[in-house]
Amino acid sequence: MNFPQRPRLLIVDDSSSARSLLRDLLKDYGLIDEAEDGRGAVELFERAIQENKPYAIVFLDILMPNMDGHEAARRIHRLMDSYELPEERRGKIVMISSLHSPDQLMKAHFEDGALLYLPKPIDTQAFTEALANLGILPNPIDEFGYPA
Amino acid sequence: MINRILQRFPDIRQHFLLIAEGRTFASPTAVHTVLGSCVSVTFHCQRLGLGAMFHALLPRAADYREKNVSTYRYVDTAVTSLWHRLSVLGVDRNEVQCKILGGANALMNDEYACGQKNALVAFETLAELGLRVVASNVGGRFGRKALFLSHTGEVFVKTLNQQPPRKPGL
Repeated sequence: MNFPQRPRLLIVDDSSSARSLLRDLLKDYGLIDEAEDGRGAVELFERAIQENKPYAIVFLDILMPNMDGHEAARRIHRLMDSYELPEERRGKIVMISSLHSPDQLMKAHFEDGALLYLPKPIDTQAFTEALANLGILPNPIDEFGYPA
Repeated sequence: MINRILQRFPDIRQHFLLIAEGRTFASPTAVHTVLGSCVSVTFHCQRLGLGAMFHALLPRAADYREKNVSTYRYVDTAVTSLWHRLSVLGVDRNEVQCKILGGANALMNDEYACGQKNALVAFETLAELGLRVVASNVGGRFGRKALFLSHTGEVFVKTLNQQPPRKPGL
């Protein structure tokens, strides 16, 4: 995925400092909104679909009040299914969490549909790579010839 | 093709990592592979400029009892073997950064289980060894093309959207 226009990005974390850090890392790459919990994220996500301006990427914490990241990710996928968003317009989920156990990682990827998982504290190089792998930054694979 | 990586690292070597292959790289190498339900783990030690990567097909060696096959055919033995080689080279477990990729869901039930189980065994084996995972890019319906820069630890991934893995072996 490469974005012809600045993509809409949604940051979801109950920690204001974590949201601030992500906003700083992402400010040059897209139009950013924020939510403090999973419930707010799902509401913003549905509104964005209804406005025909869906979010391209959701950066989602797991441990949050009201609705955690696991539940929010599953609801976001159900919203995209119910609105029948085509593959190229479906938002990608990036989990960013201090939970590091294999169970949490597996749940995020295989039950919640997270494409990427970045454990906190965020490794800035891994985050930059994630932006390339999500199509926000140029991906070297696009221009790198394969060995014969 | 002239590109940014070759401009950054003009002497970089290139290597295509095959199924059931695992290697350490002491000199700067651009390691390519293509993954479906298979799993790759990359290892990087910044202090020594060392990188390592494998491409494994199946989750646990003990479940298959195959003889005379590469230790890198299975995720569990691939992780332990490659980590052992890095530790012999002087890498401390606190300074290694690991990234996991692959494990796509396939269309048939048994193959679906294989990609998911490959990822699970990678996460579990790395956790048992106390090795730090700084990023994972696993699951989903589609295969992946991957590029690992051994000397920087960077991993770039492109999803192969039109090619769901129909059988194990990538």
